[in-house]
Amino acid sequence: MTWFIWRQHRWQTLWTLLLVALLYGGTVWVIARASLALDHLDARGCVSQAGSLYWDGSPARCGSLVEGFVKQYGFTIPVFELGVPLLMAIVGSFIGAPLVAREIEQRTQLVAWTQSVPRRRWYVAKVAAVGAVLAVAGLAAGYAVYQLQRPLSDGGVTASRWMWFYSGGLTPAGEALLAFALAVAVGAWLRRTLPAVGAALVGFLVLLLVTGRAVQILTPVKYTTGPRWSAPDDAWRWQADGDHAIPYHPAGQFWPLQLTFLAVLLLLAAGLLTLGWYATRTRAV
Amino acid sequence: MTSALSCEGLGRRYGRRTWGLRDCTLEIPPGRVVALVGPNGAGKTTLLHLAAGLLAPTAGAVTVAGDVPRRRLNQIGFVAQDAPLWPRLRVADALDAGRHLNPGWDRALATERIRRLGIPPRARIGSLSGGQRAQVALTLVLAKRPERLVLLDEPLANLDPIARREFLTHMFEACTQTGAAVLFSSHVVAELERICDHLVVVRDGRVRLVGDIDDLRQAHRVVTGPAAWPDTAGWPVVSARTVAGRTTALVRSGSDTLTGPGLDGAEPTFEELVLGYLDHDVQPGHRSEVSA
Repeated sequence: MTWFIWRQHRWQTLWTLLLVALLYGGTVWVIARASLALDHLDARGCVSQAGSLYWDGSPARCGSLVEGFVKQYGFTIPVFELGVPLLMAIVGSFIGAPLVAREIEQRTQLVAWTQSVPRRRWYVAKVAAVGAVLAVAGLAAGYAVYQLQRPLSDGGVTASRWMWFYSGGLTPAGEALLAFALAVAVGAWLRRTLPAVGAALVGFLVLLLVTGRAVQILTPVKYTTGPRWSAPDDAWRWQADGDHAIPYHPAGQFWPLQLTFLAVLLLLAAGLLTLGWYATRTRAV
Repeated sequence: MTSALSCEGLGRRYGRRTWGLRDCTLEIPPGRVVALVGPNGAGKTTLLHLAAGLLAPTAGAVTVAGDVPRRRLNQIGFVAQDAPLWPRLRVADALDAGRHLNPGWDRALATERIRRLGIPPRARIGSLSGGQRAQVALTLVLAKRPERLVLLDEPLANLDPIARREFLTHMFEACTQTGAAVLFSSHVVAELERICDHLVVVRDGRVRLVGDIDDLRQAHRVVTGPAAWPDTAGWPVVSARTVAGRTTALVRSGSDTLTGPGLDGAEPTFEELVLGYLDHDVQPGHRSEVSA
């Protein structure tokens, strides 16, 4: 079975790893340049003892330099913040959708499931093997992005690492697996590959928005207190400061919330894969 | 000895109303070569898919050598209609797949057969002709060495006459060795007679006739007489057809006494027997349904 899975999925695996390697290369390149630029600013005395840039433009000669740094690296935030979840969604959907649906389209499920390997083992082995590759790819992408945000967050371009919550650390692995599981299940139900890719992409974005928002809001939070009513700079907030208490997540909550979010994504993925098995068992011939 | 294939009130429904197969009860002893005959959409493929464990029954039960098909996968060989295979795999890869997916794989048989057929092992399956692809699929089944049951859904459709004969010879050699029963559907009635000893006729999702071909022929008569004679005879007519003022009917009866004024009776040929049960064009009132 292992040999057969590898034979059927080797190109997908190589493509996935190539994409992640490209992402890796891109981040390493940006990190190296940003670090160099920061060293440059540090040498000019534009970085404070605490390690962040002088935003207020004091000393005066730093004003334009800091502005230049922000202009040069500001792009990384939207590119990676949106790009990485999207990349995970695309990779997961395009690999997941054909897993069952392509076999049905080619009618090769009639061959695959009449060999000596039972259908359940065929499904479990395939999903586990391909899912493992996607998990590794997702973890690698998450690690790369997490490394990327460090000089930028330290440099003060991105106020805090919360900006990277959906694109760095553990979440890309969860996102890739969720998109994969959704695509497998939709493919097995629709019995067609391309519609399944589309449905999985749309469904994944909806699920990501809903679960992401839920993890942000429904987990235990802290509230701002008077008299200043403002959250710390490195907090995760979703309401504007005012003259009343607002909820926020302090910086120390980053990894606990990452784990929570990962667990939610994995639970959803497991549920969807179960539905996919049900469709494979009952609808696929 | 347990039956190679046994169906008991077997039925499969598609959607809410449509039955692909209904009330199918039959026994196929080991070592038989069984022709499965029926018009398009009659339920042949449904029956084969149920027997191969691809479909779960909606009603009744199907067993292969006494157990449900999905627990006998390594003892069942199956080739689907048009012999689908992974188009991007190379021929040698497909054989490797067979080796990795089946514990009883006969590697020598597979490579030798492909070599003898002149199919290039490095060719992608998608680039082969339909007949060559069917040969690869059939090789997969032969090398799997199924011990109980071989199910073939119109396996000969894409083969030339020489290849048909070659395959059938091999198939039966292999099955005689292992004692497996072969159940295969086909439209080529003339060809079936030569190789089959058992017959299953399916029409409209129901099994109309099951049995040993010699027994079945002895149990029927083809009777020709004046137009519309079966109206008065009161005999169990399977189907009747009137051509040029003469009505020819297939009648269920083994006795030679089945004669009357102006009637000629004879034992039906295999083709007459099969066509008699497939005939849709029966005059109203003359049809006598036979359920097996």
